[in-house]
This record gives sequence, C-alpha cells and structure tokens, in this order.
Amino acid sequence: MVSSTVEQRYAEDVGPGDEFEETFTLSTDHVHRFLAMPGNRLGANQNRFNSEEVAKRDGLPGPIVPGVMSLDVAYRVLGDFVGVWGKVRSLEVSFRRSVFHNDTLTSKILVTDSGEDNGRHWFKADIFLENERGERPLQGVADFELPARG
Amino acid sequence: MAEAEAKFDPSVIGLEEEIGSFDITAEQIAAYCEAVGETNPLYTDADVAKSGPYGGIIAPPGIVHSISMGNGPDAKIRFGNAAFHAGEKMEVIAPMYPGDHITARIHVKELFEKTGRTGSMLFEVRRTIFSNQKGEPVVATEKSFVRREVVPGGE
Repeated sequence: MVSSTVEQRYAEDVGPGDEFEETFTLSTDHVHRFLAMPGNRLGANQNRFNSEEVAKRDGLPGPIVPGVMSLDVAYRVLGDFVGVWGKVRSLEVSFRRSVFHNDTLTSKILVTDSGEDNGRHWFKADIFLENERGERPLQGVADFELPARG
Repeated sequence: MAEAEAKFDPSVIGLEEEIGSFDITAEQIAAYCEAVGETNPLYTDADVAKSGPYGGIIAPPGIVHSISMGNGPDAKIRFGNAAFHAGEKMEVIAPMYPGDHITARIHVKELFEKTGRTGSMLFEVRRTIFSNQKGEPVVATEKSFVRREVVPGGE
C-alpha cells in the first residue's frame, strides 16, 4: 500500500472532467488486520476471506477481500482527494467482481458535475477500482464538498 | 432444493431493530487505519487534526464496517441457491469522535424481484443507521443483497 500525501484541493480548482488516481496493493496482511479488528466476527472462522482451502472449495482461485473493505479503500482514496477540509457526503458502489489478496488496484475518480448551494461547493464523481488484469471489481458514484479559497 | 418462485415475508419492510453497539476508541481507529492503509491526518495525526475542522482526530466512517452486528429482521427469503452482497451506499452524516458510543439500527427498506440476463433475481435492501450517544445519526449504510439460482459450471 502506498502512503498518500493528502494535499488540500479547493472548489475553484476542481471541475467536471478532472481526474485523480491512486495505485496500491491490498495485501494479505491488510485483510488479516481488517478481519482481526476487535468486534469483527468475520475473522473468527476459516472462510473465503482468510483461507486458501475454503476459497478453493467455494470455486475461487484464492482468498478474496471482503466487499466492504474494497468500499473502505475507495472511500480512503476519496478522502485523500477532498483533503482535510473537504467532506465526502456519500459513496455508492456496486461490487462487480471479487478482489483477491495482493491485487494491485488503481482507484480512479472522475469529477462529473459541480455546483454551489448556500455557500456549499458540491461535486459529483464516478469512482472505480481497476485491477492489474484490467477488470473493474468496484464501480460507483460519490458526492463530496470542497472548501473555497476565499 | 432451491425455490423456483421467490417467497419472502413483505411484512418486515420498515420494521426497525437495534442490532448492536460499540465504542469508538483511539486504538480501534488506529487499527482500522492500519488495515485499510489510511493515512489521512484527520484520522491519524493528532497535531494536524487538532487544527482541522473537527478539533481533533475522528474515526473514518468505514470503521462501522469492521465491527460485526446482528442481522435484524428476517424476511424469510426462500429463493435461489446463491446470495451475494451486490452493492452498498454509505452516507457520512456527522463525525464520530473517540469516546463516542455508537448504536446501530437496521430495517429492510426494499424487497423486489428483477429479471436480468442471467434470470430472476431477488433484491433485498437493508438500511442501517448508526447513531451516537446523543441519538444523532453519524453514518448510514444501504446494503443490497441479491439472491439467484446459479447453475454449476454456468454464470
């Protein structure tokens, strides 16, 4: 996983057509850490998220990343895009394919619309994760706000 | 044996149920950030976060995904032989701070059938609202689950 530098973007500098991308690898270690979080029962048993054997029994080539973890990674990239003073309002995704441990994913954000409402600078964007095989396991849309320079 | 016709209990639509609660701790935030590779200083750097919009570190909203909750109302669905999490909407309503106590309440929002390229599917949409100790909603999630018949060796 690359560590990102969170730079602050401002409403005046972003508009429809703007793109942002980040590439990272979701390692087995990341998944195991997620499953081991206090209160996460997904890690309590052998399953398709942590066991090669169970994943293969389920017809998968190897253990997969929980869908919600892929969503959280997409959110993380959006958070990097809006910076400390921006706000992600919502992220809606569909899970189209499995993400496997150690997949290298590129997250792309494409700004599709923007406007101002009562002093709030809102934006809409398409977002997807693309793996090294050219597949898009997650696609969705996001609503966010950015601060104004003034 | 899978059901040919979708059967479910529509009376559960709208019924709300509490499915669990948890505390937001600094340790939980740090563990979650490690797991998803989060480096945003709002969640990871107390000094930067102190001078940010919330006056201190807050929890990434996705932290609600890392804690297992109960299932909530049972729609008694009998259809197909495969079920999967097809999509999710996460709405970020208000920040969650270390020390907050979060309670989750869920309801079945929708149950509907749809016919696609691969045949009939049954969609169940479950909405969960996470609220803090003051009763203020902080995060809402809407998960869509799909059930359908999968033919071995087919799509």
